[in-house]
Amino acid sequence: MEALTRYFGDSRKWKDGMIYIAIVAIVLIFSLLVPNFFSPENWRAILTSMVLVTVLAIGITFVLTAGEIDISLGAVLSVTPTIFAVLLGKGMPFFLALVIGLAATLLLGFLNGFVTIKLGVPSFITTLGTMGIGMGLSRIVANNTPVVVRDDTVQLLFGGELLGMPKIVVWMFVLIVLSYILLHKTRYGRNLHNVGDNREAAHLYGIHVTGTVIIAFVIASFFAFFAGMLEVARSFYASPGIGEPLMLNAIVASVIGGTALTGGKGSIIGAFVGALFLTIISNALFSLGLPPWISNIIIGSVIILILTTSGLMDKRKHELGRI
Amino acid sequence: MSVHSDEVIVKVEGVSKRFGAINALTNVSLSIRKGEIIGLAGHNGAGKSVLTKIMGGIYIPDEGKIFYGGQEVKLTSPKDAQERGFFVVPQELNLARQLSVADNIFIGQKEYANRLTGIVNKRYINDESRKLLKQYFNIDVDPSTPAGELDTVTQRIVQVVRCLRAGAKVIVFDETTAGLSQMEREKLFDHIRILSQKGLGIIFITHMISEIMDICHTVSALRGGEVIGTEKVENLTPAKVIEMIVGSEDHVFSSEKSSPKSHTLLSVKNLSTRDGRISNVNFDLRKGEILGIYGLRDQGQTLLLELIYGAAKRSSGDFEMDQEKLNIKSPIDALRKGISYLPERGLKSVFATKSIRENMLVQGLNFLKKGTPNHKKMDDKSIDESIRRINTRGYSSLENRITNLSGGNRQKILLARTMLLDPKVLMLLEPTQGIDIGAKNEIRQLILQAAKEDKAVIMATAEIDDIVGVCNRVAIIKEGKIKTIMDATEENRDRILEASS
Amino acid sequence: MEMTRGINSPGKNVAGRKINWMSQELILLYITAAFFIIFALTADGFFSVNNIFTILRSMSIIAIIGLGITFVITAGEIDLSIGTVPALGGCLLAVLLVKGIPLPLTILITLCAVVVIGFINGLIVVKARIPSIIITLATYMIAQGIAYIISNQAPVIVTNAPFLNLFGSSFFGFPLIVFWMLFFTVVSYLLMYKTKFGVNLAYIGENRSAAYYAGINVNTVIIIAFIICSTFSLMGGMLGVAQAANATPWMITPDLMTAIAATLIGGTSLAGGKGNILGTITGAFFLTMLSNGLLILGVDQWVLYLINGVIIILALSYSYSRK
Repeated sequence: MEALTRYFGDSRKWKDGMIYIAIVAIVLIFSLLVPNFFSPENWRAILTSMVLVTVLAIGITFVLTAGEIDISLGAVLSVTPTIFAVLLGKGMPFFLALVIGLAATLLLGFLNGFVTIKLGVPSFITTLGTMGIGMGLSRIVANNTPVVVRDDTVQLLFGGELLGMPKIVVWMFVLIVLSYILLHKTRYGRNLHNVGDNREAAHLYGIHVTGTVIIAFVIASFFAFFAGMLEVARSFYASPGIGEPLMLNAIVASVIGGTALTGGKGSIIGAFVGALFLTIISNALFSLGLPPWISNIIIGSVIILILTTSGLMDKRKHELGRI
Repeated sequence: MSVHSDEVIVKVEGVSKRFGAINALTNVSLSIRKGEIIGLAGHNGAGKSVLTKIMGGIYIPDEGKIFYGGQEVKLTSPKDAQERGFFVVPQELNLARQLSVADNIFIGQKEYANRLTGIVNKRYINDESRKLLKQYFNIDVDPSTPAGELDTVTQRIVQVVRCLRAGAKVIVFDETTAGLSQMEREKLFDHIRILSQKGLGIIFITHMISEIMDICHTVSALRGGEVIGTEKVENLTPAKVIEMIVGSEDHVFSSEKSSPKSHTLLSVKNLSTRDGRISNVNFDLRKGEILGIYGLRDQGQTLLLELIYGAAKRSSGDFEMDQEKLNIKSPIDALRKGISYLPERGLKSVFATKSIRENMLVQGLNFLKKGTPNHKKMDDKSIDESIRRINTRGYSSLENRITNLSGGNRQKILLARTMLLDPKVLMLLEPTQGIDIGAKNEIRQLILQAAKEDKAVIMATAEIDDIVGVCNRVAIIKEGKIKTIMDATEENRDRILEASS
Repeated sequence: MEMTRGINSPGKNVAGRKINWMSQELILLYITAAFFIIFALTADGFFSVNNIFTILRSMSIIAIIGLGITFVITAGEIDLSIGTVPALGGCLLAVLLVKGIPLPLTILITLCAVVVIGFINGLIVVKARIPSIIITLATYMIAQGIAYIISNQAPVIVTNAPFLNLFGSSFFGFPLIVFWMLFFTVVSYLLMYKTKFGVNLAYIGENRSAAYYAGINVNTVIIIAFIICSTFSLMGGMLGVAQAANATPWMITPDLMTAIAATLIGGTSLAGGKGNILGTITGAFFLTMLSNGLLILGVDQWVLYLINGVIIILALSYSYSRK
């Protein structure tokens, strides 16, 4: 392994690039196995089905960059849609209903940040709690059943098509671009990286650590909100629990895309590529007539493969003696 | 040495600071003038870092006042102090490792990003960083390199550049010369002199007398949290400076050394690591002998001990104990063969949230066999007896958290735990670092006692008093090689100091 | 082992030392008792032999799985595969029994399978230095996929009499799975506090570096902890199969977070170094009793999510503010 590393030069670039290699590999494999793999219809299907996971993955990338974790996003996804749908159904104007719904979601994000940073509760536990709150709240509001939303404004903003693609796909790309700029090009984004990399150094550098982390959680909840609204536009329903199965996939997408679980290194593009990777696999398996749980096995194995190889290549990690 | 002005930039008056039961600082007053290079000298634990951290807004004093430019200030954060021009280059490198050099220099500052859009001025900070590094230190560094990939010296330079760029009026250099070669040190000193000429105040923390004589205008000696005296360096000799730091004769350690037997207990041959941080180390250790390893910081001392302990990988080398070849691949192997190691104070040795008893027993539980006499010594009464015998104070029950004890008492407990295994070879890294002088001497006595009980001891330390007062022989280590081994006598003190630099 | 007295002990100590009446698990016990009394007074039918057995039966599986993960958390890691290993173990067991393989051999085979899973979890965590959360997420996915394949996505009905009698029936009215839970509680207590392994586990969780330098075989202990966790997960799965007389690939998965929550509110610290066996049991009982009581009182099931979420945040904010 070390000879290979030396031969191929900068091991760090290769370690980060693993997901890109993997995705090229599976695209090649599946293009041979799956008929019509490269057809526009198929790719339209892939892009459409990856929207929710991608947006959630972007949200969680911010939190991971701060060195924390957020498992509540999948549940929080349904909070604004259900509140919005119910209020809309009661005759409230669009804008007011949306703002109230959004406020609830952002409040949960703020709660995550506050409890984690100010009260010192590990973020895994905090977001375990808000996950329960989100699951319960969305079901209580909607009385545990999908609420229909046939609103013109919603469809105008998020539904239908634009430039030949579903608007939700366009929004996904817009969000990718915006979040890329925010996380990688702005002062806040770099501050966030600093906090995740070395909290003490960030403090000494004059960065407001508490505020930075809380904002990261709020940003994540905002993306959960957005994902929820995109789903409403797509399905015409606000369904409690629709995002919950996607949470783990979102984390996986972000992590195999290169975002470090320990913080200090985030990648929006990586999150997108990771989500693409996961979606291509399930899409291809579906086309091949294979049951969906095979994709779980493949994805699980790929995670282990990618992370183990890059972990063994990372010499930095071997501090504890010769282990 | 140029004369500096009389204008005071920063002043502290009557500052005191306690950490639990420990008085870190008592009634300390100090002034730094424009252009003055003031050395803060003193043993580890004397309070030098604490004082500068108070001036820098990292700690809040329990008593006393801080004045910036004549006005009293209350600092609540490092940012407060930095905005007033006070910067600390800390001993422990604290950079954001995954962020670029340019990021580390500019982040948190106004110029880092566009005021309106918040977009980082990447090109500007990269160009400027490259320029500044060249200008101040004449080094070429790619500013987009992640800071963690640089060597320690360059990392330190990046930290200094950050301070300079941010408009420092006072910079504290806290043991900044660690690991620097003679040439690099000279370059650093040249830059410090230039800064002083520009009117910056410099606080230079060091425990090396030679550096104080070389670069400082004034020196303030701290001992036990109090300022013993502040004097112009031109009025002092090295001996007088030492006297200020160490104090009265009572504290000087003088005890009869052990007499090593002729029997060679441990032999180290041809020890090297693949990356060359240790190369071709050879030495013998006799029963009852205390061998010191002495050198500047980061010359390989820690790695050497860890190699013998099995905690680091060697590319070549043999260990022999009692003429039998040892195959040590892990600390467990070493401990089974009777080689014990006490790492430096801190994370590698102490279980911070656990009790005294738990810290005492961790090794005994795993390595003492039932039925042996030492195994019986693990009950509460015996433990209590054994730590009281070595004068451990400051606890009411073995249930107390170990962090309630002072550094010196904690170290005694760790030493006692290592001795519980009755090792043949005892390896120690900086055993008296950061401990008050009274406890230092007690620990030195304990180490001597171990040698008198026919144990062999290897002690890597940066304290020359440890070497001269306790060791029989000393191996001088430089850049991973043993330069020479000589008798560790008082007469050889200067030769030892010279050989290591 | 007299000298392990005090090391990693719970607040309530059997060996006659001072009891800490305000320890986390005892406070939880007081609160549980309080709620118990309230429910007994307000909820019709709560305080009946039948209902208490129902609570005990429900909590048993969660408790055993919680006990397993208590070991891993004490080591400073986490194991998400406890969500699907019970299903995998259960399905494998059921399928083998249906094929007519004798019970002892079946148990042996399933035991080997889960030991392998635990070993892989532990090995990758210590050797490749990958954060356990993502590795066990991968094995979670793989185990789930395999469970679906083995069971062919359908319940596998078990009629093997010795198996059902040993694990699923009652002994003079007392449900056997409760007995198994108590048995494993005792086993866990001994393992955690009375063996070198358990004591070393606490040292490792507190400070892995210091444990290594003190001569503890860090890697081996951590791997064993993961193996214990998987084994306990298997036990949970087996009891689940015995109780329902069938195995499904989705069984017990929803209880993943409840098991972790029970462990955490019971006082086991997520940072490692302090395992609380009694706390885990109390936590499992508390959460199960709470759901039971509230359901009897007519609260909708999904409100329970909200309540559990709030409890987690409150309980752990309190716990961390004590530090």
